[in-house]
Amino acid sequence: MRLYKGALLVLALTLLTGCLGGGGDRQTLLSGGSWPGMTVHNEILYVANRGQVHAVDDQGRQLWSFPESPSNNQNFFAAPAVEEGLLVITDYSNAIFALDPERGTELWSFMTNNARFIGGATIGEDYVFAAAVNGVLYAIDKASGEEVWRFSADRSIWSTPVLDNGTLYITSLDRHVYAVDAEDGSELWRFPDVDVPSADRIAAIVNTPTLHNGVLYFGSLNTLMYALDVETQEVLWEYPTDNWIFSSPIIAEEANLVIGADLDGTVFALNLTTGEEVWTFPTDGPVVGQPLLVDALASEEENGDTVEGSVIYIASEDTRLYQLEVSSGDLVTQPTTIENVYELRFLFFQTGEEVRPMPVYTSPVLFAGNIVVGSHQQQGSNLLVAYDRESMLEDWAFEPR
Amino acid sequence: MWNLLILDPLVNLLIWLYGIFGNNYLIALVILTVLIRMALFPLTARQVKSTTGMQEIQPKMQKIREKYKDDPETMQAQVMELYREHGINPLGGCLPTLVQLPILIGLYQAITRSLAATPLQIIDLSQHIYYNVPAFLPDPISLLPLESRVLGLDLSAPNRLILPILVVATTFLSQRLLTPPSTDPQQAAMTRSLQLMMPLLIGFYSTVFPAGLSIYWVTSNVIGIAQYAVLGRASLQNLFGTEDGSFSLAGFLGLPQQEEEQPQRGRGSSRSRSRSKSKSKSKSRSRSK
Repeated sequence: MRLYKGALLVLALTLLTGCLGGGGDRQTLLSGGSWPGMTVHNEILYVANRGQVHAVDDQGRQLWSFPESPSNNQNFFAAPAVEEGLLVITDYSNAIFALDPERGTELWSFMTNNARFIGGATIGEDYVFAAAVNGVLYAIDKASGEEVWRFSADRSIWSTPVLDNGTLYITSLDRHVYAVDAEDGSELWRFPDVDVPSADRIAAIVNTPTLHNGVLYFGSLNTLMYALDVETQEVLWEYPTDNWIFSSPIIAEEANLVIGADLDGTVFALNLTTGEEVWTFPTDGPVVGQPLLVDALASEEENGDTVEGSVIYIASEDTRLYQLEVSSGDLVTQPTTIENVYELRFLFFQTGEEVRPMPVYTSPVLFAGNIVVGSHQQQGSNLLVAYDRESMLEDWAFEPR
Repeated sequence: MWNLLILDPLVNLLIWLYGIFGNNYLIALVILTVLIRMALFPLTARQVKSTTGMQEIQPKMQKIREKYKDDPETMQAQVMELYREHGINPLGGCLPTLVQLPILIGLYQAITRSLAATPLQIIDLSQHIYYNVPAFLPDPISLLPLESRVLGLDLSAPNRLILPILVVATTFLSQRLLTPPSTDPQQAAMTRSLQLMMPLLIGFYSTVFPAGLSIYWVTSNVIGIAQYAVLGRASLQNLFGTEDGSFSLAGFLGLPQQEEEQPQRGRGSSRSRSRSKSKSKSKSRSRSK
């Protein structure tokens, strides 16, 4: 009997370690912690995933990887920040790396003891800015990689700093939005103000805010989306959502809309000025990535009518990539199911492969006429899949060498 | 179904306890463990009863095995008859372990989700929170994110120093205290090796899992020992392998050398204990008649 109990316990612990199974559901993905982050610059797609950053050309060919071999010592959660001659990537394992975007060679690295980076970096004129889980926003000299100043929030920061006119805007899990002087790191203001009682404060903020015409748009774990005037720190409007907001909203200026999504899978478009709901579109799973806003193709039609203006692409955990008309929120084409190859495992052994629909958390990007989505890659599966915009058929897939 | 019955209640209970006990995750975890062990107490009591019954019928079992060693079918039938006669469910001792397994798995998931140290974990947490809670309970949203650091210990990350040692020590102790010596030398050897291997294995796992799970394990072991003591089943005789419960390092470690010195005494004492228990049981049965 005692032997049964021991065996049962070992089986349970084995299950806990995730030795059994394999696949692409959220449960399995949790161990990885994050998903690929993509940035397009100078006709090269840069993707950070787990312990590597890859540069990929428009045919899905690998140009370089950093480090050359996958590393267990690094874990890149955010998309790389890129400008001419400089690529900056933040590492969950307490570091920031600056690379040459042409060759992938290291220019400098900034190491810390306890600053796990989830949010990405922002490249300014002289400094690189990035904030970490320890609540510290760092300013690092762009040329040397030396720390210039640091600013401390009360708790974790998971978002990427937004730089505008010498001011950095950063959201924190300590339930505040901070405005910080980019030159010296001094706090300019925080919202809500320090004298607001704790009970009346907004909830934790995990997403990167979107700045447009002096207004910050961001969501909070209290299921509210806010429009905050950065001059007066007044809330212009707030919009109740169905669940928390992780996705950063986008601005469709021509349509005067701000478009966001929540973790119940609802995509919503609000009037930029009033916050009034214009349309909503339900998906069947949490939406995490930022919608991609692009001009509609000339040939795109919806119910026989030509689509004018812009469309958005948005990926959901329900394994589908949606294309919606910005003005109406109507589907432009039937959603594309995103599939990937997964290894099947039992204990430590591979028992086969299977093509399965793949939950997607990444923000899709437009790259050389294709819509590219990133997969939470496992061994033997594709990291990126590129869909031709016109046919929405797979054009190429990328699996790191 | 798993989420509805196990995971979601555990996640929200942990968060509420965190809010009620001054935003202290360690206290929340200990209180939750106490609640779980209290809820499982009836099963524990049944396990004790089953184990005791098994101990008492050991001599009869030995006789049956010897008598029918060449006739396994009859031996099996006789053993089952013996179980039936004494009202023993041979798997009854496994029930608390079986019930505890989903709780253990659920608690592991609840700890990683409620502490939500990575983006995917917080996204997952959004699917498990109760949004409409009664006014007398803390609003989970206002508590998030939970502070995982208590006394310098990050409960969301594995601890590879003190906690694994505590896990090994308390698991070993509880096993030694609660497991009576077996009369069957083969079973005794197996029990001895399990009593060494299991704590080490669980200790190894505790270096991989969040420290919060180790806290659960240690607390659960301590409460388990206390519950068994209340039920009169935790004994120093079991711990040190001596008749009077006096200290013996060799007995404590279950060393073979000790086993060689004791077989006559051990078996004799077991038999005499069993006999006296059988007598008392038959007396109680006759009283009840």
